[in-house]
Amino acid sequence: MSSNKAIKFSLLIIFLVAWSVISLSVGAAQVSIPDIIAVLQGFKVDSLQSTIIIEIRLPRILLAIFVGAGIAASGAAIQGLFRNPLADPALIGVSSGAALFAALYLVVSGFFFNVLYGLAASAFLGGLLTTCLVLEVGRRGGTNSAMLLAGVAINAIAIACIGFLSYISTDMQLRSVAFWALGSLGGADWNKIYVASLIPLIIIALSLESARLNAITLGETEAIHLGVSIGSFRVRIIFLTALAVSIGVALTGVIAFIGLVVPHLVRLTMGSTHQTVIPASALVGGLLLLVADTASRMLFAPAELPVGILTALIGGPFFVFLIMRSKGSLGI
Amino acid sequence: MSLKLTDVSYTVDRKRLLSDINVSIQPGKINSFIGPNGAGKTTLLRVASGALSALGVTLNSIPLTEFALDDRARKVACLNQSSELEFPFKCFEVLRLGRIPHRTSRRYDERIVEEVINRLGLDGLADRIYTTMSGGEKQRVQIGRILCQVWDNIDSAFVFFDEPTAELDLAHQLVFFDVIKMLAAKGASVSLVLHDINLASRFSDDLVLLKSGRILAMGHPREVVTKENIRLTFSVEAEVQSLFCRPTIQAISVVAD
Repeated sequence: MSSNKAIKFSLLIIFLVAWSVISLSVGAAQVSIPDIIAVLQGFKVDSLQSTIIIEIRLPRILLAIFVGAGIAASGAAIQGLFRNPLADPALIGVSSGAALFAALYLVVSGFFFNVLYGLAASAFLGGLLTTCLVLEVGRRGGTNSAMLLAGVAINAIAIACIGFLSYISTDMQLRSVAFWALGSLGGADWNKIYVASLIPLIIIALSLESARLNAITLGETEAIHLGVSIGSFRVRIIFLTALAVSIGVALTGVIAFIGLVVPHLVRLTMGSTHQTVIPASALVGGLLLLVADTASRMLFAPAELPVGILTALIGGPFFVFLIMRSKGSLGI
Repeated sequence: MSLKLTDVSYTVDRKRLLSDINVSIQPGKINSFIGPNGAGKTTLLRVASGALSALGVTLNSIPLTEFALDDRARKVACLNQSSELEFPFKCFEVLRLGRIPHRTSRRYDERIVEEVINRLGLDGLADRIYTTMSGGEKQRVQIGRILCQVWDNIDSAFVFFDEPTAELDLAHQLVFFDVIKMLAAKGASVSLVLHDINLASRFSDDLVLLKSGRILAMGHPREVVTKENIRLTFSVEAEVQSLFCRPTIQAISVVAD
């Protein structure tokens, strides 16, 4: 790694730690930094501050970092696999597929003893199914654009189904379903962190595919000539990204645009090889979602804005800016 | 050491693209596949390089399909007609992609990339962003990528290029042929698909003339590039002269069937 890249990586980690401390401190109840340090060192065990820091803010911060990192790294890998800088777990319908199955689980079943894992498994199944569907339709269509258009269509179908589920659901269920469509980190607790701690492992697994992701950006035939077994490679990437995105959706709902925008930001500033793009996207994604979540807690405090609204509001215009600036270099 | 195609046929959607192909690709030689549009040149290149699987293709008497992909990639390199790369890689990063199958150290790979950059005169491009380059510049980088893939085992390499010179200007065409002559001199086997019969005739040891998926003529350019063969395959009346001891053609008129 060149020293330039090492500096950028170090900066990202410093920002991430610094913002985590800020995020621990601010909110409906302000906690000073000396108090935070005292709580983290195990003092003030029974205080209100300790409860706020350990039980509410810390898991929420970790959840934001894990989910943001997972979605962004998945976005980078999916863009590489589809050789299309426009591919994104949300754009090609993976997130809405996962959200649909989560909603289905909430409305139709919801009686299993371990709701958390049932919901996560259901969302994972939805994410995986939609990814496979989009890939197959795209393959038959023959081009990458066909794949993206298939994603748009499947997205629309999933959203319509979620709409139908909302229509037939009770008021209580409706609130839960709405939560999945918007995305929020509000319900973070340590149980969710245990599930989310799979995400760093997935990111490591994805970075191990970096060389092959680089190869496939040249085209499938070229990747074969560079020794990549396309079939099993594709299955691995799809499985890993569907897993990461679905865990994210199951725990926080659909968080838009992080997976699309973050890899672009990284490529613009740090280069395109996946050895850099995957880990850097993870760090930037974690940082961005953490910043967005802190903002969503602060903007209308003590009320909270669902963070998915914020990421879409910031990510959407930024994406439009990217398209206008690209002048064809996005390759679409 | 040779790559042999024995009675190879290739069919897609009941359309036969290649029939009864028998070719032996020898080390140290430059072979070119020539023929009209749709004759099967690219299909033949893809079958021979293993991108398309067909029965009857063997490398050192072992069926090509039996090689592990990464093992094969260390012996066989192939550049297709058009590249799909749409990510803003830097040029030297694209070159380094050629080293993926080898799993050699980064320092070693960087030295090879450096040597290829010097050999192809890519110095000015090394730090440019690939997606912002012109077609010809991209092609030179892709040629460099293929060289990086075989640079440390040239003597046992089989290298395939589909229309490598289509986007290159005159000077870079000559640089390209200079480089592949060097590869062949060091023992590599080089196979090309070329549209330009005169370039093929001048720089190849052997020509394979294809029409409708069959081999019409094969051998030294003097035996293949004849008035008769040109009329039969291209339906063109041509004048054939000798230049650099090789046949050169000038197309005169289209022959009505």
